[in-house]
Amino acid sequence: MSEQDEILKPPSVLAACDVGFAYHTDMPVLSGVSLSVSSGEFVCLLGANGSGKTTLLKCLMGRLRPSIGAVRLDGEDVRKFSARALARRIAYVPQEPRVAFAMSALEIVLTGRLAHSGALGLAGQKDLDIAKAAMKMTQTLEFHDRPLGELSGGEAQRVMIARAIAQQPDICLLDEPTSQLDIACQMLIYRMMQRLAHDWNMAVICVSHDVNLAARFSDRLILMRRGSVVVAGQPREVITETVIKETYGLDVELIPVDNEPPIVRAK
Amino acid sequence: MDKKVENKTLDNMKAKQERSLGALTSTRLFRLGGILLAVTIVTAVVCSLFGPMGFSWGMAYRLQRLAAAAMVGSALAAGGMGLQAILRNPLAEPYLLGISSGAGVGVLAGMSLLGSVPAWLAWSPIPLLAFIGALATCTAVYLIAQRRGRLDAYSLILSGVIVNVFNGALMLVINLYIKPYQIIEFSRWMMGEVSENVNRGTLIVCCLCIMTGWLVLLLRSADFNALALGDDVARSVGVSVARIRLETFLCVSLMAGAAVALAGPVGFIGLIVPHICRMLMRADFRVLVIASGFIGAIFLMIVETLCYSLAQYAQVAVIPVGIVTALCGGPFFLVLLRRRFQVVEA
Repeated sequence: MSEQDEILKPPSVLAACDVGFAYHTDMPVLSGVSLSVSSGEFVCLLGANGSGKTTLLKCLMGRLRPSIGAVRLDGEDVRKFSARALARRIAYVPQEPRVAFAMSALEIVLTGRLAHSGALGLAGQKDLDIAKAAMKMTQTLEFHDRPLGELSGGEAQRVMIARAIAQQPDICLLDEPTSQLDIACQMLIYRMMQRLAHDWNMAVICVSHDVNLAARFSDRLILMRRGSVVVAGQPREVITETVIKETYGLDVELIPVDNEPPIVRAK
Repeated sequence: MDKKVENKTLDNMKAKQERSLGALTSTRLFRLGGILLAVTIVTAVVCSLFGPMGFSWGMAYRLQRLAAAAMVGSALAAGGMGLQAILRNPLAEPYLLGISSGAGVGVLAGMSLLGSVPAWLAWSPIPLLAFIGALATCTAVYLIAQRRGRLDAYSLILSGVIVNVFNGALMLVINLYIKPYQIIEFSRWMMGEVSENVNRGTLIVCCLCIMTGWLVLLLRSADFNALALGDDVARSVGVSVARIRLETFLCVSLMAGAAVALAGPVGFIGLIVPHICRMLMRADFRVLVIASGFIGAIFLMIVETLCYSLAQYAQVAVIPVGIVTALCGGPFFLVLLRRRFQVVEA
């Protein structure tokens, strides 16, 4: 990252300040969650089912309004942004790539350009070039004219990631993007997220269920339990038997690996 | 020399194709709109030449009826497409969701009031009450089906069915109170007929409503594409999901209200035409909203002309278009439903 680049695109910070959230007033899903993620960082959110990871992600993307606290993007409340303005800063990839009608991969990627284009959102040459670059990066260009339903799970998810990249966001949020995919696809997508953070200088936040992949690829892990953060930090420091036991209620052993975080294996 | 130039232009075209990857550009959209407009005009002219006597010249008097048919067709088809987009369900349609029957209650109320308004306001009660009826039904269906602002497509269709039954009962109640000489007019209207003696003012007001609604739907059609990816993704690419749903419901109420005021409850156009469009064209809502409007107009003009010309062979005075579309549309809907179940199982 040269100095000149930093002048052109200042680093952004997405921060949750003491966020609490409840769907029903007597059952809080999140309580007192604070975290901060800045450009160039790849962060994974880990935790058992129902620990509030997805709810936290929805608060971070401004979809849900926290009942306490606030989520700030560069110091400004994300709920104060218009949907369009926020879409230029934050992109989101859902768990399952789904589309109700038979739209082609390219058409789906081009919806990522909506917040940048005028009425009717018709694609200009610049939008097409960006969409093409995003599809090249995710290796989806070759099936640009095929409907999403005809693609394999891994291909479809890569199309959804290409759509997020086409938004040219500062921050990319992903909700268990690899939960339906085989191990090769999982590796591919984790590598891709790492590249987005390190080479493209995005802040990438990914909800994950795979402790080992998350620890191997991400810069920082945030482990959650019952709506609050258990511990956050670099994978090598965070992954211990006690932390995993506390997060998942599971007895594990750690298998050390050279130059990488240890592998977690259930007992 | 000529061949060289030809090759060069061919290469240029290829390069252009390569660069755009077949994406929808403004040129393509305008070309499509132009072609469809031309086909619609040709169909209107050809249809105006046919009547009960077969082919004949000088049937310009048919143009008003055909204009009404075209408007009704495009309102119901484009409105159906809009509903399908916001509900993410290709089975949604103004008639099935009860919007048309709500407008119908308004129209019947308007017809029974007709005698009591001054002549210069005679155009107003029917479309106005149709719109109010459609909007009230739409609001009711939406409020019943939604939970915390989220809509489940199946509970929506189910509440539409129930509201339909309720509206049917309301129409019968109005039927009880009208004067005997109006009963024939009422029952013919309820079959869905493009009538000759539509008030000119009513026709113009309804056309304006339909055009406005269609235009707004077209301006929102890019957002419809994003909506197909789910509410969360749509929101994340900058679509105000709740607002666009509300706007679309308003537009469809306006369009369906106007269509019902002109022709009564003509069902299943909003289902058949969008389906034809999806078979013929790419699944981009900017294309589909434009195409369904024009193809809906063409479709209903042809059906209307057939009904008008063939009535004598069936030995009846008129064949209302609503009967024909319902007779064709019912089985069509069932086939679509069956196929959808098969897709879900597989």
